[in-house]
Amino acid sequence: MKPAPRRLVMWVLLTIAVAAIPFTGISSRWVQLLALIGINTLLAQSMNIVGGYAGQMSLGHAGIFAAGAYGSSVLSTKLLWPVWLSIPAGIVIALLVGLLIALPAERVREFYLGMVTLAFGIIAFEILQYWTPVTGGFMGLSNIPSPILGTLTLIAIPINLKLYCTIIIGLVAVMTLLNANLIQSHYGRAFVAVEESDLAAASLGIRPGRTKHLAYVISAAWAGLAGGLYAHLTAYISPDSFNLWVSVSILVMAIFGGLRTFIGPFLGAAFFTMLPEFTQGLKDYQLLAYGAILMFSYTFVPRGLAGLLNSRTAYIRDTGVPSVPSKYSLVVSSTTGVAVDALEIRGLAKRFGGIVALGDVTFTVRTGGIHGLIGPNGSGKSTLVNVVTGLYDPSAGEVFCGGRSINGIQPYRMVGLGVARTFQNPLMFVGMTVRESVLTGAHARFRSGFLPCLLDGRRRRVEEAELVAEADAIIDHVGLAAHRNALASTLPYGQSACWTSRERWRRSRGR
Amino acid sequence: MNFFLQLLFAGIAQGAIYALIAYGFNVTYWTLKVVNFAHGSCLMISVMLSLTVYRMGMPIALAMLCGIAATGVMVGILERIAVRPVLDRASGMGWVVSTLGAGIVLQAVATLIWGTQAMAYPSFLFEPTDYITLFGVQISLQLVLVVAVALLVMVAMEAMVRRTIWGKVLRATAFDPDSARLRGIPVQRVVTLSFVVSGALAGLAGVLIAPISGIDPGFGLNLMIKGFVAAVIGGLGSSLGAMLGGLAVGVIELFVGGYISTAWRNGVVFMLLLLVLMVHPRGILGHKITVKA
Repeated sequence: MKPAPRRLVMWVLLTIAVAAIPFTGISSRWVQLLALIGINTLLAQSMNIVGGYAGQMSLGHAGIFAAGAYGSSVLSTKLLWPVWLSIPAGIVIALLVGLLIALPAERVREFYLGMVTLAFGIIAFEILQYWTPVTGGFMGLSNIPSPILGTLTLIAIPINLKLYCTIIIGLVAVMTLLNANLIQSHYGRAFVAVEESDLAAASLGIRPGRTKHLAYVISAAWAGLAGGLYAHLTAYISPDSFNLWVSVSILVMAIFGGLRTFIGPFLGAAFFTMLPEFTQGLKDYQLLAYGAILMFSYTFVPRGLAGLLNSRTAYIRDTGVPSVPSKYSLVVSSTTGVAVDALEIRGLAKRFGGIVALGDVTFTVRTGGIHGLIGPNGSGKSTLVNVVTGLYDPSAGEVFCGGRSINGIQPYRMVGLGVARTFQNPLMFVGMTVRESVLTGAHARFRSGFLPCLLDGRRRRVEEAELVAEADAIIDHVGLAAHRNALASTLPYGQSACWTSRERWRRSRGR
Repeated sequence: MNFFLQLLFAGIAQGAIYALIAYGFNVTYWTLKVVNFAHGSCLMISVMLSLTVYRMGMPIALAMLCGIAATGVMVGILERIAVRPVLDRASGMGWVVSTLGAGIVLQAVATLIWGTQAMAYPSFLFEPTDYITLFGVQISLQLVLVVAVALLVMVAMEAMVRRTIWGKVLRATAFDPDSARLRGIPVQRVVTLSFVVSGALAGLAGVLIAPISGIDPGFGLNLMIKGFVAAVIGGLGSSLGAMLGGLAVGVIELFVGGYISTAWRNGVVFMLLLLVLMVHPRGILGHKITVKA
């Protein structure tokens, strides 16, 4: 069982095949177009990360694209940095810009960020226009080292257009792999979880704010690389290459190609890069078409071109690690040892305006016991759970967990304390399969860091395989084995309630 | 001192326009927790339409009303074709993209019809040369008119929300559409109506600012963003807050332009938006958003 390496071999072969196209004697116009498709693919992937998987708004993406392009151009023309240094530096600048616009993500709903990023796109455009000493103002920057001027060299090797196109294709292939590594790890699942429900994600120990920041920053890396590659392809950049309509077209490519798929960005980029070649007489109607696509695609083609191919992107990778027999035991806890106070609630009260939902609640939960909380509708059971898990701040009283006060704790930190919860309505991740959802429940137990996930290191693959095996054991136990790969949204209510409770119950294990 | 007062008064007038735009955001936020990203384009369309009928010989006051009414109807239709279907499909924030798309369509259509050249808009009620003198500073009566209208609309909206049954209907619709429906509130119509009113407010803001600024198909976008900043600073959903937020944005913008550089105007407003959202996202008078679980 070694599917992972075989897929890698296929990918390398495909890349070599595409990278050879520039050398088949096609005209330089077509080579340039191919390079542009590659760059646009990176832009669409960038949008797909933040707007697709993580479900955040980025309506000023051209501003981040510009950060990469101008960053690399300024460093290579004014400071004469070599391109292998200036493009990464441009990416770093783009990352910082991405972080800046994501700053409010922790506090507000997505549409606020829609307006923030829209404004950012306009401000970025103005900065390019007015910061003349650095950006060249309206005139832009010219004589950027590039193949068409014959000035681009890489470690003293002159790079011609064909070679440069090949390099771009290679980079796109690498970035696509990294993108897939990330999305098919607990980082990618955290993105999707946050997109579906902040609340449910937080209850699994995912930090919604941090996750959104990360999505913007990662997305910025892709856009920054695209910017650097673009600047050195065209030799000349000006503010007009990064105006609002560029942001719109990036959005259009990603959405029409198909969000939340690996193939979508390729389809969108190829389609919208080639389209103007065949419809030159209709240039005036281009904006109209873009607007209409944005207006109606969510209603009529919600899955874009990729939807036509019926491809779904999995959020678990077949790791290629031999399946380990699960070490997981379904015995929850042994009653050996002395029972201690796990959770203590003292004089807890919660008022909403004049309504007293909870008044002076006091009780203690000991380890090894099962407690029930019963009462008629509206007696405050949910409110109690919400206050204990940090969703509401108590009006009075205190909650102790393991002996320390946890008043006002952030909901995502509860898992770390061993407190798991369910919700009245299941708050499922409807875009995930049962198996992916259950695995997301184990989010807090993943120890692999960002880089191992990005590079798909061996240890992180072993970790994932172990937790997948555990997830499968749970799915079997609750009798959903036949539905393991079914989309959560297709399960009937009873079954879904059943697995969500299981899923949440197991979260606190592993401590 | 004179220069200071001039900037202050101009800033207040500019802020009143932002307040009018912010009211438009508030109205749809009340019912659907949605803001129309095509608001700027709608504002522009109102101006273009009224200018067109004026050139065909209609008196300017009537032409303005036509523009406002047409924009209201247009945004009502927009709700039906670009907001409701997307919300029904429950794809999260899809409505942001669909309304933005609608705005782009409107701008593209306007460009095809009217071209990209900036146009002049006829003055209404007062000539650009009419002014009053306050504290030794000449203030254009057109600007005074803008502030007066913005204040009037604010008082009307606050009164409606606080004193009439409509305020309760709006709150019920926003809080829980299903139980509002059970109590006999025609939720769909209330929602559509809120979009119509929002569109009319966009139209009103447009025809009021048009005589003062030049107009072209792209002129609504910047105004829309500033109006949104005003709404956020004041607290999304609050009319009084929108006014205060609008004044803050307008005055800050004019002072930055007057004392530092006009190139910094938009940048400072943008930083202000980031800051408010990071530190105090519910604004001055907005309500804390409580999650239901």
